[in-house]
Amino acid sequence: MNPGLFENLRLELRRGSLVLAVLATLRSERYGYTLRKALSENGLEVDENTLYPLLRRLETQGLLASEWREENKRNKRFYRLSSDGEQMLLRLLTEWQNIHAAVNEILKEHDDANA
Amino acid sequence: MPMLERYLRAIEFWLPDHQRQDIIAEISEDLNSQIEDQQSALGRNLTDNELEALIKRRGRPVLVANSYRPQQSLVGPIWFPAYVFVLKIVGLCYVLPWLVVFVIVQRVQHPGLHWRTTFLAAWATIWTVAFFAAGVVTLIFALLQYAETRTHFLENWNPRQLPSVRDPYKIPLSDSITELVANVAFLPLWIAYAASPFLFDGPTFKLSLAPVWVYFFWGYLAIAVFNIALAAVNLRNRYWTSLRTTCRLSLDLAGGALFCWLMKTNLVATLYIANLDPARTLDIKNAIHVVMDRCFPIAVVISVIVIVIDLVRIARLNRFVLTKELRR
Repeated sequence: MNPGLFENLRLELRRGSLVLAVLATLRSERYGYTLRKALSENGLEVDENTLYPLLRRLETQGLLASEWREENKRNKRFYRLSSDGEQMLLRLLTEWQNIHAAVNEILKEHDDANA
Repeated sequence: MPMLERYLRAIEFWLPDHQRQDIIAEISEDLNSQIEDQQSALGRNLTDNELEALIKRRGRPVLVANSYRPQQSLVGPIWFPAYVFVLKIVGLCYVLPWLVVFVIVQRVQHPGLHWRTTFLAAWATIWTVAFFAAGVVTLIFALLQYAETRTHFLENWNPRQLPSVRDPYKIPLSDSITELVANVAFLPLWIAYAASPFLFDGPTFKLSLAPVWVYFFWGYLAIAVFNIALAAVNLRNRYWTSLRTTCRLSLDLAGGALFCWLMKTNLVATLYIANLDPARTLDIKNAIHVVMDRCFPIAVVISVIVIVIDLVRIARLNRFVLTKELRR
């Protein structure tokens, strides 16, 4: 199998899930660096050049709120889910679960047919 | 200046104005957090090489800055296939014929010139033509892209207005009728007015053609008769066959050859205009021949286009027949 092709498809698959993961993680307030570490600890490595522009886009869309605050003698930008973001997260989670259930069903049908 | 500072300044240059300071502050904070983390893990300050590796991993400044900009393109993916298609058409139907005409005109105007000089002259000027053509096409598609981004006009479409599927091997009825009517109308007029080389023989105006005219008269007469026969057969059986595509090509080859020859012939034998100085009349006669001579390249291009269309039709038909045989 072409490893480059796998990497492209993997990135495509992850792109949509990343928004969901970021919104879910930001139910508690974090700044960029700790958010990336949290995602990484949960098995979702994200490039900085993907994460920070995404945070800005989600903020522009009204799904996140942010503020600059000093912590450990350094100014940091803290992000958290806005009320619109909370509603969006719930809708996206439902959609995510539907997709998950549909894919599982398809896989099950295939396994049953091959059994 | 420290490497980190230089890196941040380089990113800053490419960032959008209104967010520049905010984004730089956040990137700076993120890099400092990473440095702090690594330093506490190592129990010492980072070396220059380690700092370099960390910065390099973050990416080239222009790419880092670009990730904060919305994706923009002069011609986006929606228009790109059409853009490439039009560029190919323009190359084939404008730039290439232009090159052919340029070479022919050069050869006609400077017959003593070496072929290498002709091609070098063509090569030197083709770039201007090609870049201008590509530039105009790009500009049009950039405007279409801009309009599409603003109005999404491509989303507004009606399936009922889709063009009907055209069978490339079927001869349109209108083509055969037009060809038949045009040639039937042409034939009596041609016989009535062009049979004699003395086209005009009045007291104030006389025009007679050179003896070579007889070849053109009989040549076009024969072509018209064959055209009528072919159009009549095409009306009965409305699909191209190998025989009829070859006939079409032969007739167009003959017509093209006669047309090109006509342009190179000093056709006017005598010209008389009453009350006009004979020297002036001779000038007019020569001017007619010069204009015809200058039109020779155009005649060649028109003939070549017609013959290429015939050849493409034959190639398509052969491919169609081959595909049908392979499917059996």
